[in-house]
Amino acid sequence: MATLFESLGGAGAVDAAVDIFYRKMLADERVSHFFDDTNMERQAAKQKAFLTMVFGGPNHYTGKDMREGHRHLVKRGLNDTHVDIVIAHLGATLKELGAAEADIAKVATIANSVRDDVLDR
Amino acid sequence: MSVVTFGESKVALLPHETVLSALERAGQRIPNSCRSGVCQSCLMQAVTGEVPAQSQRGLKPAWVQQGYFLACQCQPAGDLWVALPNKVIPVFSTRVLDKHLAAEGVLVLRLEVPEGFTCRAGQYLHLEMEQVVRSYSVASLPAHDGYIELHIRRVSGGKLSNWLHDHCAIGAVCTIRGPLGECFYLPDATADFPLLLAGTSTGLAPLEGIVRDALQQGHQGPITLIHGVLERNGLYHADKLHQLAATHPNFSYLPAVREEGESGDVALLLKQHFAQHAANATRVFLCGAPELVNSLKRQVFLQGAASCHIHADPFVMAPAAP
Ligand SMILES: Cc1cc2nc3c(=O)[nH]c(=O)nc-3n(C[C@H](O)[C@H](O)[C@H](O)COP(=O)(O)OP(=O)(O)OC[C@H]3O[C@@H](n4cnc5c(N)ncnc54)[C@H](O)[C@@H]3O)c2cc1C
Ligand code: HEM
Ligand code: FES
Repeated sequence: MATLFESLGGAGAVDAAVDIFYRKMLADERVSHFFDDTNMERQAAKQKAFLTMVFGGPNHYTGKDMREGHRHLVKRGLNDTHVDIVIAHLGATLKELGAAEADIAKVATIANSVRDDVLDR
Repeated sequence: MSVVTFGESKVALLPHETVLSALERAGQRIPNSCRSGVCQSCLMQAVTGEVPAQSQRGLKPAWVQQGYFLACQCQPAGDLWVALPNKVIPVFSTRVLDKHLAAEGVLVLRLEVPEGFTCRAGQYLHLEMEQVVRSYSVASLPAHDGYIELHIRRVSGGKLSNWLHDHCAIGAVCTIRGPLGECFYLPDATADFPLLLAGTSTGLAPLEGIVRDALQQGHQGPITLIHGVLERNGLYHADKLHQLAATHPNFSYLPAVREEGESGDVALLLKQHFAQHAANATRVFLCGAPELVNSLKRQVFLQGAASCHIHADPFVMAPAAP
């Protein structure tokens, strides 16, 4: 059976999703300030890492990495609402790309599974 | 068997081994995450040797041209000398051929092209003189023009810019390191996509070079160059650029003088460009004052330019000494 990553379209899906998703994040004032002082090219690579992970693709991130990677953001007020917004933009991005509802739900589940790590609790 | 050289390490690849695995086996730590060619965290650069196309999938064209590749996807057929991105910068010795003022506070400095130096107009180099190193962008087409041209803005209290303006003599010897950066023209399968270039003050230097490079390579699509300055007397090379526009119907030159109101609003001019040309096909180049460059970069991305088609060099200065 195809994995979630394969059924979404693998690396090609990540390439296709990255601009759409990142544009949604930057255009949304509720979350865009978290990306203010970060370099856009590096951000694009990090967005790819993020998308690969939540698309169920290969990655070597641990919960500890997620804690450390977002701790400076938690200090700046990152909370559940922001995670919900990210998940909503993810869903909308996948929908635009024509992904199946069931796959979109699985992506949300993966994102939710690291919520506590991202929020450092 | 291919041999991979990285710094002091030389490793012979085992069958089916990737550059990433081989370097790790040799005790090197190379950033990586997915190990499957998706996340791009294992980005490296080939200094010499050929990398397989498979290892460059998904990279921006300007990176491919500079030999960037993904170490986790790379099983080269021959020997390779690799480095982390921008870690190996060639060094050359050269001398000043000519200097003149193009406008109040804007110095044009021409350097001899050292033996073995190649560079694309729009890339930048580190110039070292008087034991100070600063970055400057290349405005000329060195191979064609026979000199490296730099445009140097006088920065009040600045060390090297003032020295270059006031004291640097013709014939003076200097060291350059480079080229660096990815602001340069690359033709595609087609040469009819729109090019949009915007810069402030001496941010014109790389852009002028890129425009000439594109025209020389026969670019067919519309080319729009916006030069933002504070006051009208800050416009330089205007005659040259008007001339170029007169002889190339696909090239438009838009001087934008801030104190003259709407016509001087670079952000607005960019917006108007996207009302006329497809944003997702446009290649964008932005250079000059860091704050403006960074905000324009965000603006053009939000207006639909693809991130892999936005090239920017903010002219960041060292932080003020305490
Ligand atoms: C990729 C890149 C490309 C570049 N290309 C060019 C180019 O083509 N042309 C060009 O002219 N420049 C370019 N620059 C900028 C250039 O490298 C130097 O930073 C610039 O020339 C100043 O160098 P300096 O030695 O004269 O000044 P420095 O001795 O470095 O001093 C400048 C100092 O002034 C301080 N300063 C600046 N503004 C103020 C202020 N308002 N109040 C107080 N302090 C202030 C800065 O923080 C800094 O400490 C580029 C920079 C980069 C990173
Ligand atoms: C929903 C679960 C989330 C997951 C799985 C996740 C995953 C990731 C990953 C894999 C990275 C790259 C880390 C690296 O390689 O350095 C990253 C970075 C980042 N994330 Fe998240 N993230 C999540 C939620 C969020 C939220 C809600 C925000 C803010 C709105 C956010 C903002 C950022 C930022 C700004 C960075 C870059 C940090 C830097 O530049 O160092 N993330 N995230
Ligand atoms: S480790 Fe992710 S692309 Fe190589």
